[in-house]
Amino acid sequence: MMEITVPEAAVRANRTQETIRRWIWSGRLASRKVGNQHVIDEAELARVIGDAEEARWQAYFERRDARLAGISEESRAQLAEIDVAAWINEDCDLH
Amino acid sequence: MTVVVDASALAAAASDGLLGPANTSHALIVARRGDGPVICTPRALSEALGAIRRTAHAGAVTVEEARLMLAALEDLPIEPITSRTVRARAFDLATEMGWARTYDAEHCALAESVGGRLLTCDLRLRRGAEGRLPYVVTPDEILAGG
Repeated sequence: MMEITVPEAAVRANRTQETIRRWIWSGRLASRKVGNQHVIDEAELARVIGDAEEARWQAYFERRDARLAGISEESRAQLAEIDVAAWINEDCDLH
Repeated sequence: MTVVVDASALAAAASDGLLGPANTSHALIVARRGDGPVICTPRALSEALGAIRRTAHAGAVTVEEARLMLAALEDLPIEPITSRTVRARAFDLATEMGWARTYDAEHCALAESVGGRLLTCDLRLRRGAEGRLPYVVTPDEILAGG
């Protein structure tokens, strides 16, 4: 088991140290005290990061679907015929 | 695993659900392998914005449809990362690869710095990376188990 400090966990999670401490205080992230600082199991951190990222993506898909709900069936059918890969690669060739 | 997206993958992800066939967002979820964040360079966001604008300017989508793609781009749970170290590495990488510009090198350098994969829909970049930059992958490769 590899343990890391809060500053190290913040870098690993791409979050602020305050967020990591909030995860600990709320019970979302397990830690143990060594002296006056918290240390966190790497695997436990990976699990919490994974859960947080999963929730962010789920929320994103729900908001996206809500935004797209107003498009008519006719427009949807026309747009679906645009090949994203072809559009992107034509655009990449432009710059 | 941390996943880096370049401008082409960002633009494609922003169009998922609107243009077809949509698979970039799905590939991003799979590429993370359940535990990594998705990040990009600040420049990738600007380049993706330009790609979306150009598709509306060319008349392929309406301005309103392009605005929906822009809303998705701004809303995607992807963090832009600014790093002086990455820019320095991008310069060296572009030199090593013989690239005149550092656009692609910045995305690659960011992926290298986090030990992650670079997801791209730019087939020219993917072909150029073949055998030299193994972390550069396309959504189709990810979804095929690569």
